[in-house]
Amino acid sequence: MFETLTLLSLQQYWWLIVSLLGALFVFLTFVQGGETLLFTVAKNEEEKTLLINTLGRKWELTFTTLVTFGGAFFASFPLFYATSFGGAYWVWIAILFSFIIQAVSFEFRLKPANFLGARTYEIFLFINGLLGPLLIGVAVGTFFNGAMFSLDNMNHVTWGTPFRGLEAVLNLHNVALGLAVLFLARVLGLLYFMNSVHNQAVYDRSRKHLLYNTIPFLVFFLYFLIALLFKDGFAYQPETGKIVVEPFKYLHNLMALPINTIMLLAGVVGVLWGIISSLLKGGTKGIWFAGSGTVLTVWSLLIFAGFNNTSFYPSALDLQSSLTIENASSTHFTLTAMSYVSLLVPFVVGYIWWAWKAMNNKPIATEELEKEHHY
Amino acid sequence: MTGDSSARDIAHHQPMKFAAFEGLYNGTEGAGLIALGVISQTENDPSNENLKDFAVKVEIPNILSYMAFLNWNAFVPGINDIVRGNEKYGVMSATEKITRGRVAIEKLTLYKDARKSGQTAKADSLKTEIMNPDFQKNYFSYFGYGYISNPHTLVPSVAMSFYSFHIMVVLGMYFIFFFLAALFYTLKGKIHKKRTFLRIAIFTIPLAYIASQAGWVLTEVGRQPWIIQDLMPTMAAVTKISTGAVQVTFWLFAIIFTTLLIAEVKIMMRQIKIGPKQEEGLSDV
Repeated sequence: MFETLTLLSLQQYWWLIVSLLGALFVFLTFVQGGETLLFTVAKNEEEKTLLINTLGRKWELTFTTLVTFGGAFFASFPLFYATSFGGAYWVWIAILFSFIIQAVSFEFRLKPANFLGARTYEIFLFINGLLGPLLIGVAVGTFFNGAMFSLDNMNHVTWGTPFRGLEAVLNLHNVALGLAVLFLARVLGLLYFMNSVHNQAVYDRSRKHLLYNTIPFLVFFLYFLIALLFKDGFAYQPETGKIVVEPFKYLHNLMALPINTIMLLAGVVGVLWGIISSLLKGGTKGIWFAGSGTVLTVWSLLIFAGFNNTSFYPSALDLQSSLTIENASSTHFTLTAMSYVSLLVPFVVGYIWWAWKAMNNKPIATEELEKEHHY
Repeated sequence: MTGDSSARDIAHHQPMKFAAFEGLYNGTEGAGLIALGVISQTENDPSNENLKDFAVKVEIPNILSYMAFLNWNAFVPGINDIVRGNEKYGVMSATEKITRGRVAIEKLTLYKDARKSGQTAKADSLKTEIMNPDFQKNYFSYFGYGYISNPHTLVPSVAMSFYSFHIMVVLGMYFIFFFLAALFYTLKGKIHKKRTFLRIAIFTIPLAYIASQAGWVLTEVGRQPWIIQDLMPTMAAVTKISTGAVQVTFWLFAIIFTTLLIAEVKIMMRQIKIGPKQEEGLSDV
């Protein structure tokens, strides 16, 4: 089945999968968003434990999706993996550490004799919630603005700055994306609290903070999107293999890929509807609209980054080192073998869905705290 | 047995690693297995610090040949054979592999240069040459050797490979007996009365970590200098970050994980002190 496809079709298939995983991850960062709101939404220890318990039921899904995203990238576009993970070293190390301290915090926070005290573990969760979405957003910003690397004949990476990727925060457009992802994560976290925590006070406060977080989200996201459409992009000439700077490249992609554009618009409408309906009418369903809207939006943005002969990881240091889905991919053989494995993905998604439902069978309310074990 | 087929895989694909962890310096037919041994500090070969004699060894004849090739008299190449070559048994010398690897690297570089400068015809003809099955087999499969300058660097630390392997094997044997005993006592329904056995059980917990770590040391030290056997040496694959960056990362890991370990141990100790929950209906187990 897959072996008859051309190399380019396989590369595109895998870019779609990697992008979808990235999009699912951004949706699942509601866990990180929620972690930054512990001190805002909860007014006493009991409510705080309630929030942490509800996030503690989901953090593994987020983390596993992030790891799967990285793993799929490694297998399908190994040159990106080697260039970015080896090159933008400090960014990835910072992201890694923010996740190391997250996992144990859920586990240790309320255990007796936990050495650092509950407060420290809450701060660890806050750090993860802040740095995770922010840095990953900034790192993805370099997909559109370029990173400071060059590759030699044997694909050895040389990084152009001693900051090893952290210099991406000097670019306003990257930072706008990072902040948009952070505030989106907070918005999703609030919608998730409204959906899952059965406590009126938490519900009301979440709804109040929804407005405060939606405004900065919209400002940063719209700035990112509009600036993206008017900026120069990095185009790939398939005939010569050369990378050239093309004005309005992403606007051109928007027009060249109409289905993707419709998906982007549907996604944005979904996010906005999820937020606005929750603000105006209340209810608990906002997370589903905003969540699926997030998946569609991020998926379509990542497709814009790699399709239509665009370099998805451009080099701001040496234009010809830029990576495209064609020059960074695995071989036809590897992509074919992995494509068969990818047929299992729906089963994995089905399992996530099932596990989610099973975990939600017991609603999280204050009474639960007395009998259940705490995270 | 998976350990057994794993040994055959290594003997075929990573003969140097195999020779190192078995402490086999000079290859022979009907090679014996060194069951236990202590490596002395004197160097067997003055030009190579990784080659050291055994001070004491217990050797079982012919077993190694059988383990590696399912033939009691098969020739198992030793470290010296792999470095110097052994014409009689068709083992190519390291110097020859290095020469061939350099030819492969040079040809690939020419191809990449031609493509970069837009000489399509030249690039295509070079690609045909590279993809030729003979060239692939006789040159390209030694690609990584082209990065090696001193053949002695092809030898991993024998002492580390040998000891980690034997620690793993000895502990593995111990676990088999230990769990057989545990099974026996459990089936008889009196495991909770065997105080000495339960004490041994407590001390067996860390041994599992030691066995696992020894296995990793063997895998990663024994494979050196290769990250992809014969094709890519570690030094060509490593990210070029500064020594300072590596040190900072190391200390970050050390501090965070030590802190979390202290927390974990304290939590566990407290839970042990609290003891198991008394449940109704369960009395003496």
